[in-house]
Amino acid sequence: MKIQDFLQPQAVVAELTGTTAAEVLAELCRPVAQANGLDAARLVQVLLDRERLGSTGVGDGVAIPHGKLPGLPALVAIFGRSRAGVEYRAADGKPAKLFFALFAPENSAGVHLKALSRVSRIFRVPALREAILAATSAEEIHRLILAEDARD
Amino acid sequence: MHEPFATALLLAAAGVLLTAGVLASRTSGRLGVPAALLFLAVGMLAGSDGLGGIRFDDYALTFRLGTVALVLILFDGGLNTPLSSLRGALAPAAVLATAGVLGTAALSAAVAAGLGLPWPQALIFGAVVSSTDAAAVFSVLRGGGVSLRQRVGRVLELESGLNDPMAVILTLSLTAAAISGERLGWRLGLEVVLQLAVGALGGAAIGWAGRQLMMRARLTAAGLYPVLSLALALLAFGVPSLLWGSGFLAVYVAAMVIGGGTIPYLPGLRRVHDAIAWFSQVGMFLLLGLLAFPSRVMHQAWTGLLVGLLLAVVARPAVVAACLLPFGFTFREILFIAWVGLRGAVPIILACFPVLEKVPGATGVFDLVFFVVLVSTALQGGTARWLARRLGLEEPNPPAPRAVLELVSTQPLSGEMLVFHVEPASAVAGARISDLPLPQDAAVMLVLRGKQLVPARGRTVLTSGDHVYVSAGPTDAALVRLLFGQAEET
Repeated sequence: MKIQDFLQPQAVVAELTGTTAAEVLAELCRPVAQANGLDAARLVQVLLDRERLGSTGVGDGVAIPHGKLPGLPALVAIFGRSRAGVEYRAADGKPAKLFFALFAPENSAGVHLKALSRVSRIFRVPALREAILAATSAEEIHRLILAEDARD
Repeated sequence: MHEPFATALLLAAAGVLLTAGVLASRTSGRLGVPAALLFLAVGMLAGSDGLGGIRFDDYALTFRLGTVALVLILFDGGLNTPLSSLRGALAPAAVLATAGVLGTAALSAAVAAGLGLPWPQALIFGAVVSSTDAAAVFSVLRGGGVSLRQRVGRVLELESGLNDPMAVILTLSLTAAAISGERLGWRLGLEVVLQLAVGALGGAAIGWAGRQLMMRARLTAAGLYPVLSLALALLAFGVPSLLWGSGFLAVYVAAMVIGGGTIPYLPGLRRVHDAIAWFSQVGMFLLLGLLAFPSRVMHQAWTGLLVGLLLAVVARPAVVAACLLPFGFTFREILFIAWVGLRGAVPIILACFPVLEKVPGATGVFDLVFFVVLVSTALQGGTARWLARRLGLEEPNPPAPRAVLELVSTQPLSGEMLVFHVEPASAVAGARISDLPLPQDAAVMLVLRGKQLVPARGRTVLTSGDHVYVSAGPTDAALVRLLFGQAEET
């Protein structure tokens, strides 16, 4: 499974401006809703339902919010960067700066899980996190993620 | 009477009382009455004015046993208070536990004085009833099945664990002042600061050292670990107290530090201390019931009820509002925290102290306190759950049911055994185990579905409601949590 299969170039927000977890999630859901003709509030709710079970802040400033959405044709992702970082109840207590949100169709648990595992793996690479934080455009961020994904 | 018959009689009577108390608690859920009240009733029934006719008026013994019981209850409370819960709750709870206690004491003293109690006794009364009771709050919040929104519950629990020291210091100082006739001055303030500082530091130090000890000591029998932790509880109270610190604060802090570590056999330890805390609570209330003479206490009934009501609906809400408004609590949250400021056994134990020190009018204060506690436990404790629901403060999603199967390690392990409750929102819900992209060192060991043990085969599909046992290496736990959700506390 390749990240380029579900992360479109336009699905990268270079500057998230929200100051709370809820605001950031709403910012991430808005473009996804527009591109796929979905209700943004419902997308946010799906992510919040998962956050309630425990933060998806995996540490090192990375968060991977995700959820299942009936009626979605395929896996959809969006990436966002918050330079200031927001409090995300992460395991290591650090504010989250890099958000990779994933929406999976219902009954696609296998694909959903593989994508989560893949995303969490590449964001464990410190060089990628640093490069993304230093990147100057959304296109550059998209390129960096795909390049890291292609490395192995 | 000669030995061994005296001991045998004592043990038999204690056994009968404890059994009656414990069985009485079964009805408490049905009647909506806090269990503590029923323990008290059993004690009073057995006492000198009741059917049992047991003569008991030993305030010194009650004070000492009550202190031991409180230490054990606070230790259990601390052990079950995760350090992460301090975030956001510590500051408001600390203000409530210091300034709040002081304010409640002053207002209660004014109320009592207004109702005709002379000032020295009124001040002692105020100090005695100023703290909320850890055992009562814990048992209403945890035992009563109230699942509160996180911050409200945390603040209430932390406050109740942290505010006894202040009430103890105030009571002891005011009692001493009432006897010697000296005026209290700035030295009281200094003493409070000193006691709290030494208590907190001493507790943290003993907790940290105890944690190291428990992690390193390879004990041959698992049953020895609770003995060690019990010893730590006694040390955590005794040593800081000897060093002019607050032992009650120390024991709570020490237990929090110990419970925050990855010490072997922690679930087992928690269970043992839970049992000890229950035993302490039942025993303490039985003893207090024995000590109260209904025929004498009844003289104070009306004043007591009135003071109790005024405290619950005026003094406490005013103080809580003043303390919590700066922290941005909503009106509903403040109302609830004010109402669940339960008075329990602590005031009754503290009220023994002036009696012991022969302060004039101290038995009158004791009887008054008894009623205040009665009002508080019956009225506030009995309605806490209803109020939480009315105010919309109950957690909309109650915590997942706990797994009924526990695996316990008696030695520190390099990996972790995580237990997850699969919910509809978990990414793994509906996935086959063979589809889980688990790292090399992680594996699903067992699935518990209802009361059925399901073998973890590749084709087993994880469904919402399952408890899943996953073993994971230290670095894999983060990915496993991402896939499953939050691990259950074990």
